[in-house]
Amino acid sequence: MPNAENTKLNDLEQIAIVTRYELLKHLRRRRLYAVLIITALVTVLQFAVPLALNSPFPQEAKSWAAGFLEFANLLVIISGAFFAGDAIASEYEHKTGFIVFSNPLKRFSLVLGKFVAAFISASLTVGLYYLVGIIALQGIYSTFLSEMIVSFAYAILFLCSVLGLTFLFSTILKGSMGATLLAFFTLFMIMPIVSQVITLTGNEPWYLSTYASAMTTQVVNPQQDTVMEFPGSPLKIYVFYPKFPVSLIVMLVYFVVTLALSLVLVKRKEMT
Amino acid sequence: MAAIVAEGLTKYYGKLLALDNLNLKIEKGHCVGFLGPNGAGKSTTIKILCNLIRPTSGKAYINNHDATKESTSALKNVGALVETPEFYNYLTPLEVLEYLGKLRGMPKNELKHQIHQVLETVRLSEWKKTKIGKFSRGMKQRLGIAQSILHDPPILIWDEPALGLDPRGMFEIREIIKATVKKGKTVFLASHMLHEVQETCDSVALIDKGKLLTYDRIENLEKVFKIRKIDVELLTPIEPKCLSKIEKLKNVRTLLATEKNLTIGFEGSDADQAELLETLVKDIGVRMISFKPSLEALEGIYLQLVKEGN
Repeated sequence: MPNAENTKLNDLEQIAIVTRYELLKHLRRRRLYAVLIITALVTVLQFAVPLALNSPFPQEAKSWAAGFLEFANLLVIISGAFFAGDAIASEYEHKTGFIVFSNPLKRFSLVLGKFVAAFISASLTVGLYYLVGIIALQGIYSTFLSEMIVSFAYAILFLCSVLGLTFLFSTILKGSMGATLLAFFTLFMIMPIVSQVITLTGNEPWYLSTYASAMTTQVVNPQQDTVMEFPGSPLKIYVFYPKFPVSLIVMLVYFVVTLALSLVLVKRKEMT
Repeated sequence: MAAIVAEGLTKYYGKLLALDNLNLKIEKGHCVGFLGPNGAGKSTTIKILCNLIRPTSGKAYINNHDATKESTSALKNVGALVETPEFYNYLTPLEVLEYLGKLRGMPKNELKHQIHQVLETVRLSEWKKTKIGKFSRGMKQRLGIAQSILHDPPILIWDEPALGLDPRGMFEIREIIKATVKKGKTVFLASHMLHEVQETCDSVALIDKGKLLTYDRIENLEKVFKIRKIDVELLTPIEPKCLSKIEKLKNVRTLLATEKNLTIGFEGSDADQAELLETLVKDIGVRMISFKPSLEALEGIYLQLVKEGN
C-alpha cells in the first residue's frame, strides 16, 4: 500500500521528470515538425537559390559561412518561440494546471523542467542547422572552421535569452498563441526595428539581445564599425557590430533576468 | 488532530468577496459534504486548500501544514480533483498517471500496481493506451478521480466528482467515495448533488455568498430543522380517506402521495418514526413493500438555509 508521507523526491528529480514528459510533448506535437520543415526548407534554399541563379558561392569559406549563419538567429527565435510559447500559458489556458499544481510539485521545478525541455528541443534544431553548415563547408571548401563552434556557442546563449523572454511572456499572458506570437514579433520585428532606429541616431544598441545575437556571424567573419559620410551632406550612416564581451554579458543578463522573473511570477500566479 | 482547517479564510477577486471569514475544521476520518449554490465559494475554498490561489487573509491547513506556505508538504497527503479536470491531450491515461505518480516519488513497482488498480476502479483500463484528446468529459472525470486516488492519500478533496458522468458513472463514483470513507480516509466533497452528499457524507458544511451557514452532522441538522422524511413504497394505491387519516396523525407535517409512493414529512425521533410506520401498517392498513429515509430532507435544509441567507 503506498504511503504518501514516505514518498520523497528532490527538486532535481522532479525537474528531470517534467523535462522528460515535456520532451514527449514536443515529439508528439506538430510544432517540432513545423520547425524542422522550416529548417529543412531554408537549408535547401541556401544551396538551391545560388545554383538556380547560376551564382557562384563566395570565394572565401568565412563569407559563405557568415551568409549561411544569417538564418541561424532567426531559427533560434522561431524554435524558441515555438517550443516555449505555450509552456506556462497552456497550463492556465487549457486548465491542466488544476491537476498539475494540486500535486506536491514546486512550480519552480515545473518551470525549470519545461525550460530544459524547450532548450533541448530548440538547441537540437539549431545544432542540426550548424551541422549542415559544417558539412557544407567541408563539401564546398574542404575546410573546417573552428569559429563555427564558437558561433554555435553564441547561438545557444542567444537561445537561452530567447527562451527566457518567451517564458516570461508565457507566464504573463493567458493564451499560448498570444505568448508565442508576442515573443516572435518582439524578437523578429520590434527589437530589430528599435535597433535600427537607435543606430540611425549614431548610438550603438549594444543592450538589445537581438543586436548582440549578431555575434554568431561576427565571430566567423569579423567586421568593423563604420560611418559612411557623404560630402556636402550632413547625412551619416552608422554601421555597428556587436563586440565581445559586452554581447555575451547582455545575452546572459537577458536570460537570467527574464527566467528569474518568470519563476517569481509563476509562483505568484493564481489558477482561478 | 484535524485533517483540514480553515481559519478566517477570506478571498477577494478584485472587489468581489468570494469567501468571507470562513472557519471550518474537518476531523480525520470524516466525510464532509460541502454544499452551496453556484458562486457560493466552494471552489474558492478548495483552490486555496490546493494552493491554486492564495487567500486575501486567513489560513488554511492540511495535516497541520500551511496550505499556502508549505504547500508541498500539505499536498503530499492529498488527492485532489478540482473543477472539470483537463489533461495533456497528447498523453494516454497510463502516461498521465505515470507522470503524476513519478512526480510524487512513487516507486516504480508500486506505481505500476497502483495505476492498474485505479484504472480498474474507474473503469478506464480498456482506454489506458488511448490519447486523452479523444476522451469524453465523463472519461476525463474518471481519470481525474483515478489520479486523485493513485497514491492512496489519507485526505481526498473532491470538487464535483460526479460532474459530467452518466447515471451509472455517478453510482460508481458514489461507491468509490463510500469505499474511501470506509477505509477511514478524510473526504471533503464539494457538490451540488444533495443525494450524493446525503448518501456518502456524515457531515455537511453549507456555504452561501462566501459565508458558512451551518456545519454539522446530517442527523443533527435534520433534528435542528425538524425535517425528517420517509419514502414509503406501496403494494397497492392508497385510498383518499386513508391519506386524510395519515395527514391527521401526530407529528406528520407534510404528505405527498403518488399512485405507489408516499413521502411523509414529520417531526420526531427514531421512536416516533417506528410508531408512525406501525400505525400506517396496523391501523390504516397501508400495504407497504418498503420504506427508506427520504433524500429530500437535506434538500429541505439546504433550501431553507440558502433562502434565509438571502
